[in-house]
Amino acid sequence: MTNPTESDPHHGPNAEPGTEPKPEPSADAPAPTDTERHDGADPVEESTESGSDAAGTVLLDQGRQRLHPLSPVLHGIKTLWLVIAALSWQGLARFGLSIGGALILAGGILGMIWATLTWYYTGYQVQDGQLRIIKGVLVRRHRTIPLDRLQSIELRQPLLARFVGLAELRLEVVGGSSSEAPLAFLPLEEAEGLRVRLLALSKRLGADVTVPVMPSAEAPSAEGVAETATADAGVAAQVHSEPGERLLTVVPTNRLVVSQLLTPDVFFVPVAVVATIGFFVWQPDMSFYGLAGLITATIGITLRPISQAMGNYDFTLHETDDGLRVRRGLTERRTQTVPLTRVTAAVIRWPLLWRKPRWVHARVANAGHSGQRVEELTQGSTILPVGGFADARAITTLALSGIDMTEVELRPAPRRASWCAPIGRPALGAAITPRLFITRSGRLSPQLVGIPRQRIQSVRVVQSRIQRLLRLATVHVDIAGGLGVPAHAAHRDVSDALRMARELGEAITRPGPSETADEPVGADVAEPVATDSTDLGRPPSEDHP
Amino acid sequence: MSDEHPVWDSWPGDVAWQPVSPRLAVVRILSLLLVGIPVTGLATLLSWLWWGSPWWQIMASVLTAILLLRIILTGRVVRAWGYAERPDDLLIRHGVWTKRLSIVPYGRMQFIDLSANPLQRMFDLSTVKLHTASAGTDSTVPGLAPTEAAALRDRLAERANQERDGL
Repeated sequence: MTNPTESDPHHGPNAEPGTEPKPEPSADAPAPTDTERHDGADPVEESTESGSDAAGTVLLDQGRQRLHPLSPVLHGIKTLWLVIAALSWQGLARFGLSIGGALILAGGILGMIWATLTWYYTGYQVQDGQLRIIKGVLVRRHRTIPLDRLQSIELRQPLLARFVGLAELRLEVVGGSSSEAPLAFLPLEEAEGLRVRLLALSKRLGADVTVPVMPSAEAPSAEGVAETATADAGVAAQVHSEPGERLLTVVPTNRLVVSQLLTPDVFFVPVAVVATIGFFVWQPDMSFYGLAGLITATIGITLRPISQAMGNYDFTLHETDDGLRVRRGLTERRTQTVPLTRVTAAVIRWPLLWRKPRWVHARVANAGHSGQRVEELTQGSTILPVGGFADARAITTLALSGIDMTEVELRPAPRRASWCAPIGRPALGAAITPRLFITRSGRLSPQLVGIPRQRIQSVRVVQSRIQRLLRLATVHVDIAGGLGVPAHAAHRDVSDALRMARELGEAITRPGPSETADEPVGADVAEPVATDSTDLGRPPSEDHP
Repeated sequence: MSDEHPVWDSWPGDVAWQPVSPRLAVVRILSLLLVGIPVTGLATLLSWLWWGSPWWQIMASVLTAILLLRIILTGRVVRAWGYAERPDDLLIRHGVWTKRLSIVPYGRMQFIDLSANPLQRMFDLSTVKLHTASAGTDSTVPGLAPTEAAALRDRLAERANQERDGL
């Protein structure tokens, strides 16, 4: 590892110049008194700090803090579930109840011990405009997160944590990945205080970097959404809005439930049930474990729509100065802010089964996502789980800084592309506007992807063997953040593909004057981030594995 | 069999493609053998234990055929690799069956990795990999002599810095 901030585990934060003089225990063996002192002193420190921040004084530092002592218990329970899932019914059938139970118990205890060790060696510290997270039992890691690179902070309360009044903070940093450490868990009010404080610090530090001011042209469209949403939802009065937030949309529970019933997964349930009963009739002597496995599989099929419905329960979308604020969740209430200046793509999808009620789904990808959930890393954040096209259009227009991607006329793929995409060919289309790269694909469930050209990181032209014979090529566009759908213009004529690639590549290197007018250039996603800041031009010899 | 019109041939204008070292072919063949022979042996052994004749012969011949095909193709794979430094971006091309052309603007580079595994080091080769903020960026230049690789990295880093200063 040559990562500068990770490769200096022997120097604590204090070893660097300009840090606080307070004596700290060494990183490898924190004294027990450290825990006690901070556990007792935390709330006081919090309140004084946020107070002085509001007054606009210097960026105050504070000593290293620990996470809540109940955290290892919550993490340990998570491990227990993992062990149970890994063992499954089949494992239980094989080992028998007693050995299986013992295995689960052993796994749970090991998980709990590991979680306790991890908790013991984890600390965080706000210092010099940076958040430092120190963690790792075997390999010590000092992760430094410059707060001016902070994109958003998500506050999460999983069900168990909710019972004991704890919350989890997840920091999203430009170009970050799942490796950004979440702060799990903190007492709720402390987490809220820290979130406000970190956001305030990052805003002050990055005042010249982020420009949250929206062009005035967007205001009418946004208001349009708000009006339609309040009109057809009719529940807006009960929606919890904080000052400075403007309601964009609310998803009524009945619409959410119906939309999740109209998913392919649900349509498979009768098949699974019939199969289960059939197996039982055909083979009545089937063991209990076999039957239990089949039932579990059936439940597994319905799990995705259920988790979708629960995760998007009471979904509200607000516009704030920082961006779009999403609140959702039944068991786990989540508040997430998607900064508009960091949106790297927007997608509207028309699922096949939602054609009749004329519903669509909208998502955005944004640069740097630290959510541990794989689906979020790869699929982006949902900004409209289910809703009418007008809403989706208005919201994505807002997300793409005022450009309506649904209005742009797309150029179709050539007819001979049917050899590569016999069903989907008529749906394929792509266009490049001065600010956006837009592609459409999918005949049964069409989806429209809009990507701000400034956010494009690199462009690829890929040509398979068959495409080469047909003189076709696919133009891929790489962006920061996952989208869940390919961001490409498939099966274009070769010369068209190359022309598109050149045009897209040039937009990156030479942004036109119109593009620099309202934004400080796409450099915000291109600059080195956090731990990588000195990686550019690092010595080669240390890279050998 | 020559490549009929790979996608990068149609790139307008003159592009000065830099080849990678032919020694890369040796490294590739060696690493294919290093991985392929144990895998083939193990799979053959296991299929002999589980399914017996004639399945283990089928398994062995299919895996050997795949290995041989890949070894035969290695020369073309290595010749297909190329990179071109242009004023604003780096072009990288590779691929035999599927042709791939990457365009990475200097201004988008986040950091650059220079690496060499033990086998590459035995043949005095290094790999340069560019990273952007996107995980999808496909931008690896293998098979460069260490001095050449270091020089390329330095040039890229300098250009990345210039681009950033210019913004």
